[in-house]
Amino acid sequence: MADAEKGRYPLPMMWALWGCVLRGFPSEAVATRDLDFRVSSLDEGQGMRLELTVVGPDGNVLVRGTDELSVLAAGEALPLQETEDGRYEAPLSEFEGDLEISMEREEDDDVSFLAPVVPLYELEAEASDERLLLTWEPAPGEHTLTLGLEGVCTQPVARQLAADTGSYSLSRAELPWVTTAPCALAVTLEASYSSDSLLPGVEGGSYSVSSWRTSEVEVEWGP
Amino acid sequence: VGTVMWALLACQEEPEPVPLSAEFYLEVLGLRGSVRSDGEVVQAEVNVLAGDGWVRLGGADELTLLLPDGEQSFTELADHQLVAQLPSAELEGALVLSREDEALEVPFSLPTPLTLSLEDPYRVRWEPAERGKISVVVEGMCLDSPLRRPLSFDQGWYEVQPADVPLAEEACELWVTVQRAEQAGRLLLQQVRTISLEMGPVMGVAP
Repeated sequence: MADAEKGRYPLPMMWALWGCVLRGFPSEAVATRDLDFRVSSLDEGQGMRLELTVVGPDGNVLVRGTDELSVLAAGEALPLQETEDGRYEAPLSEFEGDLEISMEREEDDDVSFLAPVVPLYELEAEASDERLLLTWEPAPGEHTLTLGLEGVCTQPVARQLAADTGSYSLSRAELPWVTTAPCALAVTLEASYSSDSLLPGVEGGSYSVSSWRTSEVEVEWGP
Repeated sequence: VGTVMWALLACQEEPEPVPLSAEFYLEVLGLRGSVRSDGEVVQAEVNVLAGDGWVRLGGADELTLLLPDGEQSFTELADHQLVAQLPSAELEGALVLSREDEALEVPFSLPTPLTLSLEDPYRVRWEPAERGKISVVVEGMCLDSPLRRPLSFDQGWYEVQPADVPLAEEACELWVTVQRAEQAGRLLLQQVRTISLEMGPVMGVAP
């Protein structure tokens, strides 16, 4: 007879050990109202990818049994890979728009919500004696835009924009120069989005969505 | 119970009285504050210090504003701040803290005055000068918080960016304040001017 059956190990301890070994807990044992979906789409320089973690009261939840997790991008199902630490990942390539995330369950409420993916901007920079003019094609969405500028001849500058007008200019005097010689400046436009809200139509449960990616262009400029 | 009693006693404790300047040697006294011109009046706001702590002007001590054409006395406000006003034409002077036959004199010379004009239509222009550090602040009802733009050198202009203003269907009035400032010891010397401009409506895509 196994030790657990003999009562040598209490059930909570077995449950914790199960979670440690598999890095997650089977979804069938967790109610929908206790699920928290955490969605991130991000680009760290190797292309856009999706990261989805489903979290329950005791830690990460692994989709098992009759539960089905799916993510649709423009109507196409993404090939979700379960990672060793209990997350789900998929490449997103250049996708922009809303991801449709759902978890169909036979024994409990289904889950369904949208997760916006921020656009990738094509940034152009034009330096003149007077100013640095940055232009891009404006894109709709509820994301935030942050303009960044870095180089060895200046301290970093970051501006969070209030509107996506497709252009921004910086005069020379607005940069905190640290040398008198020009240098290569890396100009970035970061689009980011985050939201934290409850699941619509489901008692309890929650989800959060974050998305960011950075467009970059280099330009030679100086004080 | 002991802790509560202790807290009640602490609450009832009288604040320490501010010491009088006359209690200190003149050598340890100093003046901290600003002399600021907005184009119409120059206002000096000064506190008397003993070391790093504030003191109240008292005893035989007097503070005056010495100008090329005469003297101006200070008024003491409730928080022991001393205030004096003079016409904007006055650019140079000295703060004099005097006691019987000795005096502490802090001379000052305000930076070059600014005259703001608008062009282009969001570019604010002024005559650049060699002295003083320029900073720009943009405020308006349509902005969540003021935009603060310190400039690394005086280029004589600043352009408000439409992307810094939230999208709107109606125009928004903005106030652009340009400050030219210098530090003289513990005195901040400022020329400050403000001009308004109408932005928008800002076109773009949400947000």
